[in-house]
Amino acid sequence: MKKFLNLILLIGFMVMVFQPVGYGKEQRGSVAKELRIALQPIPFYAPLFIAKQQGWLEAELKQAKISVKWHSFLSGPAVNEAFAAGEIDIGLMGDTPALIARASGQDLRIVSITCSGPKAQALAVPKNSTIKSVKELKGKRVAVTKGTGVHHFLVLAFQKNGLKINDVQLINLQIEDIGAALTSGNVDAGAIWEPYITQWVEKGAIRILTDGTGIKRGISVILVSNKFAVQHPALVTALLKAYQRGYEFLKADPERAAELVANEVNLTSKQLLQVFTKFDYRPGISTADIEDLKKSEEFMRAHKIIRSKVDVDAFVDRRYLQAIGNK
Amino acid sequence: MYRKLRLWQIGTDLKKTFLYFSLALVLLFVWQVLGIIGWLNPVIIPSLPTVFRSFGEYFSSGELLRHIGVSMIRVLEGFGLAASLGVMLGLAIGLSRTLDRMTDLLIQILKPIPPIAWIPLAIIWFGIGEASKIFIIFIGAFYPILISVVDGIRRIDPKLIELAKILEVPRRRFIKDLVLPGILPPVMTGLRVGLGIAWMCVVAAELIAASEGVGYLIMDARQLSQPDVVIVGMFTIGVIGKLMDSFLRWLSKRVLVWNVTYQGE
Repeated sequence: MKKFLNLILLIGFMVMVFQPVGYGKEQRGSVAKELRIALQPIPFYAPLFIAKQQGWLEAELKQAKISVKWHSFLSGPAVNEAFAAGEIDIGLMGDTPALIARASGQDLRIVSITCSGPKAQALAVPKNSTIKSVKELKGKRVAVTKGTGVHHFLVLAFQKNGLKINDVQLINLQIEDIGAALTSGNVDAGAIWEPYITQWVEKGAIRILTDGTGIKRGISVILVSNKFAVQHPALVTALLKAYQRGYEFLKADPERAAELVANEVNLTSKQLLQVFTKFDYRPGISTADIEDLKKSEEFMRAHKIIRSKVDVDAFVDRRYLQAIGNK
Repeated sequence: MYRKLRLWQIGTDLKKTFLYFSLALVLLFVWQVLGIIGWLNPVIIPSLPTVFRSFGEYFSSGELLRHIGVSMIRVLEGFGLAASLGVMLGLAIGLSRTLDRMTDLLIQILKPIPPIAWIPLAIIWFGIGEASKIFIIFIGAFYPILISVVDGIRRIDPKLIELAKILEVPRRRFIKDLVLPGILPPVMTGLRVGLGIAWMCVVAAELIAASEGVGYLIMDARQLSQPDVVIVGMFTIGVIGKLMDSFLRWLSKRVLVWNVTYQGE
């Protein structure tokens, strides 16, 4: 009996210890003192980088005494971890990591598409490779980061050229390692994205076999914690407004925009002017975007990148865009 | 009387077994209860059944065993290299005062560098293939083995060495019949520690561009936001580490028994 009581005490203790893990972090932020945004230093989010450089959000939220915290992460999955830990409210990432986060049970919503950029995805070979077409990759070693948008692009590019993914030796590498592996000839080809395409082409390390034109539009999304968005819809719309303003700024004055964004991503303003032309930064959520999300979701389930189905229509929340007059 | 005694013994054995597993079972129980009450955020701590299900899936599909096999081979290669080089270099250093003096500083400086810090250089030197992974595991296992050999030699009974010198035992016999048996106990411990570290290094090693292995399984699940699979990988590493250690302990007992009888001749 005494042992039993001890056990109950132990459980009670464990419950006390574990409670903060389960609850505390979610409850934090019910009174918004700050807006926490996660970005990656890549040109996919140029309009928001312009807003950040210009301090538009900070200026708008100053009156409400809300500060803006910008966080930089190296990849979408890293942003997902920050979401899970309750460290951020809004994150920008490719559609695939967003679907991974949703499939893992995180209560997140897509409130807008940030961009589509078919030309911002590429299948590259080492500069002096003898390979001239995708078909020649049969039986070769191809590097890709599993679970990224370009992984999907790679599969589609193979399909288009009559290859199956099993026809090549697929090697799962992080993006920096793909660069090293291409340079050293450790792999025969690699699926990559911007800004690495521009950087490595200009370094003379790689040659582009094909980009995503006509294969995959390659969309990125603005992802919010649903709980945060429901509690603070005004902060989400403020962010969307800042993004819209950044987009208009970029359209009106790309050169100045390139100078601003160059402070945030590892490209020169001259390179950025070129890179900008590869993207359509218009915010919004179109039927084509929904279709793309659904295709990505199917692909990811078929390749066991996600294990549970994601209801794309419920994942997307258009209300915040509608609130700022974007239909 | 005899019967009673046996029953009593079975009782204590049961108690011992129960004690051995009790804390782990309590932990699993609490985990399960917290899951049922719904106090666990599945994004942060997956429920126990989820972890079991993933374990079952990975096990029955053979994927887990494949990852274990790949990691095991890497560890054995890295460890084998570390053991042979560690013992050889250890013998050389232990038997030569000059060499000891020469290498000491370098070893003292290199030893505290964690294997994970070698990753950038390992990639440049050995590429992203198997060699760099084996190198990382080698680095982890090498120093405990090397030091156990040198230490073992230093701790051989000076009287025996004196005696060997007086009797003018040839160098070869001196090493074969005195040094080697003498350092066996500490070296067995060194090998055990080395293998343990080698196995722990597998996650670090498989951070380098791996597409198979238990370490890869963990890192991949991290990318894909699957904490249950992360736990499956961690648990696998833990259990295999424990089994390997138990095996080496058993082996060293047998080897050392031989050693003791040998010395008793």
